[in-house]
Amino acid sequence: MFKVLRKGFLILFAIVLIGLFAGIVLGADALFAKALRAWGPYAFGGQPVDFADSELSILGGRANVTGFHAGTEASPLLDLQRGALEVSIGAALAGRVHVREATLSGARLHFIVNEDGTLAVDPGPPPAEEREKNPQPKRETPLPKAENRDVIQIVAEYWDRYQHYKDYYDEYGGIFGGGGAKEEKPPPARFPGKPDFVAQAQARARAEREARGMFYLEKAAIEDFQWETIDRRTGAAILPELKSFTFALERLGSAPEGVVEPATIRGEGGFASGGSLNFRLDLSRTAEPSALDLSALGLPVDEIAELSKMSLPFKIAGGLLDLKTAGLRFSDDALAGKISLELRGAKVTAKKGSPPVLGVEPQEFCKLLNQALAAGPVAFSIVLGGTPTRPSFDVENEMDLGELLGGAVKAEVKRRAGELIDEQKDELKKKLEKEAGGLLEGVLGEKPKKPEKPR
Amino acid sequence: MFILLRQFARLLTGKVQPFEIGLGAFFGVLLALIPAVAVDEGTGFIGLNTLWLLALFCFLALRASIPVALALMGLVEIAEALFLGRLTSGLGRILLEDVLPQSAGIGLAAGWPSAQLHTWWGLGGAVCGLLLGFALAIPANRLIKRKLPAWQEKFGKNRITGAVSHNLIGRVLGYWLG
Repeated sequence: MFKVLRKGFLILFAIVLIGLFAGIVLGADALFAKALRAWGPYAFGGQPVDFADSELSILGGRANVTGFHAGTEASPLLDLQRGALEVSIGAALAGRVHVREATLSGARLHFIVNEDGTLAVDPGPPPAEEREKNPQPKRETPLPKAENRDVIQIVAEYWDRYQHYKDYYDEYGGIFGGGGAKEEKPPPARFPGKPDFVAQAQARARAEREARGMFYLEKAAIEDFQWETIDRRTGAAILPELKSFTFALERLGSAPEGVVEPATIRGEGGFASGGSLNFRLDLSRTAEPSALDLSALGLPVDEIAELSKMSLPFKIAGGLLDLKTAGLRFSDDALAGKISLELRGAKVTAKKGSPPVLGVEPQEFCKLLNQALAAGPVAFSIVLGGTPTRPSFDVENEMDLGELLGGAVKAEVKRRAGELIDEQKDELKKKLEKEAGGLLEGVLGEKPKKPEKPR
Repeated sequence: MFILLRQFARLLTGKVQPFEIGLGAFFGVLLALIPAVAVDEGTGFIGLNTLWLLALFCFLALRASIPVALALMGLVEIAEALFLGRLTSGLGRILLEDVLPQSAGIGLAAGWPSAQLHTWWGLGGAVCGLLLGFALAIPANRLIKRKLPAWQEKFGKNRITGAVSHNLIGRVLGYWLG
């Protein structure tokens, strides 16, 4: 029976298989390093990736990388001292990435604004022909020149552009995805073709697969997180320097069946100049709304004012800011909760274009607010409503705020009303006399004229 | 051509069994008619048809005559480029769209997409390859078995036959491949 088998080939095949397996196990580190260098840039929007050392244990499902760096020397994106991953081999064989545990330490994120007012990670606008083909709608309020924008405006412009040209960036690359240069498609087969119902079934299956997701992160910890934020136009930091910060991530991505707990991101730490930042974001997997609990206490106003100096209607300097959320819940079609802002020791000044507040001129409002701030903290409680895409904001303590401003607003209103009455008094009198004739004679304090005798 | 002659000489000298020629013919036709590359882009295994790879593995693992298979592959490939490809693709289209239930096509696409049996050319090529392969290999095997004793008696003792069957390059190749 075995005469029919070509023994030499089978032995050779077995040797090749064993050699391949041994090669993969023994050469896993080199293969992993090569794959990381080749595929890493795709995960970082086309930015180059480098690292000091890497190792992979295929049988154990563990991977480590040290001295990781993403981005160029001129525009760094992320530095990582050490990263360790534990992945599920079973899921990997099924074509999914299931990270059981990840620990990243010494992560340093770089957020840089270039001299020309663009983000360092911005791949730039699409080419002219793409923009002509699909022009971006003009903004209701035009932005200032790129080099004069504040960080909020820079990020907003980039986000709007990315959303509008998403297909282009997804295909050609950008910080949120894309594959760099367009891959050349292989020539079609000599006799291509398949039934339409097969194509439809494949499309359905692909959609189901995409909906199910390919990535799940059970647990991750990011220790000793730092950020480096520089605005190269001024050389100043965009965000206050962190003293220490840690992240904990749980159940992120496409969860296996049966997991209904929300995906959670928690962060806690403090700033070098004082103040603390804590948050917990729960992203619901059920009909329950998602939740955000955030508290940023004692934030130095001067260190965050640059972020939105062009966007805010007033200039704020000095002092500290507390920001807290209370019961903030959101879903696709609902937003609820409160945000409380407390300002201490700050000085507010009006600038060109500042709007009136509570019916008071901006300069006067700033004067009153500064008086109140000198006396104690001023708190605003904002009630959120609407939806996440169309939120509404109501100042809950609007009346209290008037009281808080020391009744000065009331005094100002009374003074203005008095002035208005004085200005209008004479005119009003003449008008009344004309229209009411002699009926009001004497009523306004003048002697009544004697009636003329008939001739 | 020389390799084919040598194979024939080895057959006459009893170094090759008749079934090896039949298997060679079968796999030659099959490998030529099954598309080697993925017809449906993105469903192949590194761009190749896994059914073709499976046939190749069987061909190499079994004692099929490599020269006979290569010779037939060349001939059938020419025929395929001229007219046979359109015929096999057309047959696959009829099978998938008119003969088989839709669930069969969908099941093949979902269960073993890299085999390309859900495409017109992939299914038509596999079916034609099997049918034509058997249609050629079984009669060839019977014919050789029946005629071989007479051929051996007539040419087996010939010195030329002996010399051709002992070709050194052939021996080296035969050692590695056989």
